[in-house]
Amino acid sequence: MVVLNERKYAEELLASEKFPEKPTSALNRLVRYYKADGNNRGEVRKLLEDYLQQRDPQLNLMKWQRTIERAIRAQWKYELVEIDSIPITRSEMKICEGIKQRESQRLMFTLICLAKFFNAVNEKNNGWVNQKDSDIFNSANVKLTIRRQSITLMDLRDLGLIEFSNRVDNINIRVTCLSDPEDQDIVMQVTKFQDLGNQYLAYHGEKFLECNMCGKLVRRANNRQQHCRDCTAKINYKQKRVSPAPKQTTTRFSRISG
Amino acid sequence: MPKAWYDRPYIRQAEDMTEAEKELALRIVADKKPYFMRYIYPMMMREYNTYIANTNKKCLRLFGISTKELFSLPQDELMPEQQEFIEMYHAHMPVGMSSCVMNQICRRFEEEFDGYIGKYKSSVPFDYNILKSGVPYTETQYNAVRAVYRDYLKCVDEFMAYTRSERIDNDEYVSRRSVLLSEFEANAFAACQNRQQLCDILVDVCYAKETSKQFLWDIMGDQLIENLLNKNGRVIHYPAKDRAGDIAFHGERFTFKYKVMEGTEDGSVE
Repeated sequence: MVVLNERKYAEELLASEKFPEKPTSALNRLVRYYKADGNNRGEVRKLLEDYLQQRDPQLNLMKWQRTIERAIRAQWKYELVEIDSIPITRSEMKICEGIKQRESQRLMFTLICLAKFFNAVNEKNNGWVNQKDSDIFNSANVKLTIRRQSITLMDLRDLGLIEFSNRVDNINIRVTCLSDPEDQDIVMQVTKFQDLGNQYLAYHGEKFLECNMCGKLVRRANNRQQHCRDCTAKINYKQKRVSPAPKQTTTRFSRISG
Repeated sequence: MPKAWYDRPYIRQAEDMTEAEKELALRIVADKKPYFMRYIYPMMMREYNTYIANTNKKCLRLFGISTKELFSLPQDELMPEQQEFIEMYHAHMPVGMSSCVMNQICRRFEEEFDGYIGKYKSSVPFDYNILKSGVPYTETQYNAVRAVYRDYLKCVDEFMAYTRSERIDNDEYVSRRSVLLSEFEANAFAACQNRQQLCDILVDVCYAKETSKQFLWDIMGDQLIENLLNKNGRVIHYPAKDRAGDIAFHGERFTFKYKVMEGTEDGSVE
């Protein structure tokens, strides 16, 4: 999961009383946050234990020790990522718009966003996108079979927009059509790295809404819609079964004759 | 173990070996475990499967064909890039693919068991009518029960969305699911009071299309067993352990025995 501003994300995690839906990902980000604040490994370990315990008092900390150790070991060498937004220039947008297939447009937009993000994190990155295909295509909101995914990438390679690694089993992608860093003609600022494909479509005028609860960008089905399908299901279940609204009673009044 | 026995780059860079020694060492270096050992080491199996999947994707991206299709092309029709791909494919393979005896035995077993489950899949579709009692019902009853079932599926979706976001423990999950089931069982009986009719309607609703049968088995499990028993003379056959039995399975011997099941007034099986 790509997070632009890990400090803000960590502060949101700490402000929330809920146990995180993805605990390992949350712990990884918190390690970098606490390290950036000047804590040593022992202090970070204690802080992570407190974080988990506060959100689930019945938690068995012994079962989480290995996960906490792994998070500290893996994340200690990385710096906290604090990027406000990724700018997309007019020429990059035109490149995406120039591709015939709509799915390929969304995919190319996603690859450009990811390449620029990784370039911002590491100046030696040089346009490489080292993510799993499933993550890239999910971010692009493109659903294709594995064969079709590879053929779509081959088409982008033939257009000269991307290239592949030389090694036979390395499936990383390098985006070769990024604008010059000095190009200031910016048309879009990407502040979230979820549903990039939908963000591209929304930019081009299609009707989307941001879910009130989880912030996911979903296609608008009607004008009254406020949530995504998952959050609607959660709300419905809570309203009907967890804390149902009291039934309204009507009182009949008899007319007073006079 | 001397490094020259298992480390190919070490041999290439070795300064204390002559060219002839290096050549011999490179021919016999054991830098990869043989193919059959992926069934012994789970990490190797993962590494091999990942390699096969990634090279296949890479081949599709570079040439528009899978690795299987590439290897089936005649040698003289291969482009230089495709020939290079094949060479690199074999060079970077994480396991040794030589035709040693154990590898040959391993491949023989793989050929024999490849698609084993698929081969024994029945070509005759399951006749779900054996689960029914045959008691007739009306279309009104069918529509009413089907509406309850659809409502149940929607509620289960909502319940699963709720459990995914909230951290509820196993006991609470079981308890809430049980309450949900009881509620819909009551709704189903309100739509059709006759147990046998309700069972037949639910069998038709659940089995006619590829949809979840969990609701049917949760509330009508007893009735389904009762229907099957009635169609089989109320006799069940079961394997029992027997040292002199004629059926061998998993190192034990069994004999098939039978029992006549008595029915009860409420239709449940004793």
